[in-house]
Amino acid sequence: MSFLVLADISGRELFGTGLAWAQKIAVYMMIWAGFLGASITQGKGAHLRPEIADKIWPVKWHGLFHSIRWGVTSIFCLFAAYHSWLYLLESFDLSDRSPVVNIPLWVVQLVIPFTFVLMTIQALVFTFSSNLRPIDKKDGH
Amino acid sequence: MISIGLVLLILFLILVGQPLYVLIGSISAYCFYFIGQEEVKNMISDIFYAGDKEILLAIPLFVLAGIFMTQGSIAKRLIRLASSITAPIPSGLAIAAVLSCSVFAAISGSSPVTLIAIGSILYPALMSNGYSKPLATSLLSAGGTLGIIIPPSIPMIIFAIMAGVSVTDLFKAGIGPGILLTSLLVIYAMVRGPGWKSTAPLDLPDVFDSFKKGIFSLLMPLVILGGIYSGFFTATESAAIAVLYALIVEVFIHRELKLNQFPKIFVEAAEMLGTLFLILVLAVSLNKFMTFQEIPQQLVDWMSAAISDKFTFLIGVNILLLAVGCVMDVMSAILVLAPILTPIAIHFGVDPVHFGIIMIVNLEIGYLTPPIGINLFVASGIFNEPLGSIIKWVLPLIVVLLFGLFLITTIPSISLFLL
Repeated sequence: MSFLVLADISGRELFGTGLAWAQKIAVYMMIWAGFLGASITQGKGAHLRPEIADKIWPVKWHGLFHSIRWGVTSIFCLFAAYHSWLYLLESFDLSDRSPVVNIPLWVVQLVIPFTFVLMTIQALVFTFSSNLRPIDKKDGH
Repeated sequence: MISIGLVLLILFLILVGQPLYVLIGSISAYCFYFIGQEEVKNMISDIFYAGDKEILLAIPLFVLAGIFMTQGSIAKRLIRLASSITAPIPSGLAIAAVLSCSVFAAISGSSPVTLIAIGSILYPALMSNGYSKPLATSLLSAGGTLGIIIPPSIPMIIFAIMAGVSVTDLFKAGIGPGILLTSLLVIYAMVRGPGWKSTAPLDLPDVFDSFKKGIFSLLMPLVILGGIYSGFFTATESAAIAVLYALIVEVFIHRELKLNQFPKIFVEAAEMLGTLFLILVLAVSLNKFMTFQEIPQQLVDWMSAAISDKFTFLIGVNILLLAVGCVMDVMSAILVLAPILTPIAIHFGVDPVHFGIIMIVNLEIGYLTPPIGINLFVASGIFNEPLGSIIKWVLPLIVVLLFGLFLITTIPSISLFLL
């Protein structure tokens, strides 16, 4: 990403014309990295999370609480995966293309349902297996 | 009925401990479907186009540059340089602690990382030089918070995206408050430190040597900000330059970064990006929906009826943000509140860039306030002191930072003089 932006700057400063496609490709790479990074973050239990509930639930029920917590997360991820898939199909049918780099947009958008499917599987595993659950970086659970 | 459903949904999600991306995503989907009468896939479309913005590239690139620069011995180099320069000044080592924190924080962009890197080296040094435990602990904890107000700052980029203001303008506006808050902490260190007892004669060869070894670390913020301020580069381009600069310095000059460390660094950067990216695009999508439904405008109308003037608004918003800073982390607070509060601030005649700075300084103080002041927990861990003592010791520093906040709020030119 960094080198693509640098290539654009070098083109502009040295040859008088920037590489418009370079920054666009870098943005698409960031979208992939951002979504896949969200999955890595979930795997490590590092997503930002309001922790009020951790204090409300009695300590002896924390096992159940974390099962419900991951269960609800998995439902959301599945819901998002399904609607992302519908969006991807529509983009594919309409043959949407990137105006700058002229590639089919579904190639970039594919990361959205892919990530949500990954995150659904992760959350389901964490729902049913307390041993595999990540140590929550923010609250130690 | 739809509003009650929304409130119940939010309460349920909080009660079952959902992460912020599930909270914002569910609220957004609910609003799209029930209020906007739209298909949820349109929300996914908004998410995609929210991410398809070049300014967002600045976030992973600044994160990556920060990780590259903080892998080696940059903290030691900065501390040595600051200590050698401030040695003849009363309470010089405490001043060195504040200055090291502010420069390191500007490079690393992370408050807890700054506290760990600088604190773990300088705390024993401060102790052995006769500084009191409360002073050493509180100064290092407060110094670490400067990172988010001194540009380049990720919270500033997030605010710029959410509030629709220029990142470059926010970076320019951060300089004055950054210098002001650093100066206030330096003055506090001079007043509360052991004074002349702690001075040592200036060792010029040591100053030159430490300058030679620390100059490339010290130059990084100047390289980045110089490019932005001169108008030569955009914030995104400066972030790419920062990555290149950090790579050259750490691989070829400091020789502290090896090729086999790169995969771990890239995963760490992806993880940090992943923490922000998903909630950011979801929040932008929700924000777009709210703007379409004219919700900020309705809030502005409601607030104008309740609040009469700019001064009352500024007092109220500062109290609100200080309270929010106690219970929410910086990123979540900006994502949720920036799009709601900025139109109200503009309505009352507050410059949106100035408002961004006010918001970030408030949330910066939140790093030191219980119950979720991150720097309090980090300080308790690395200095091996009870949390209660740390909270008591940082109280005077919170008062100092509040005084800084008062000046920044009431004198807009502190922030806007470079614009």
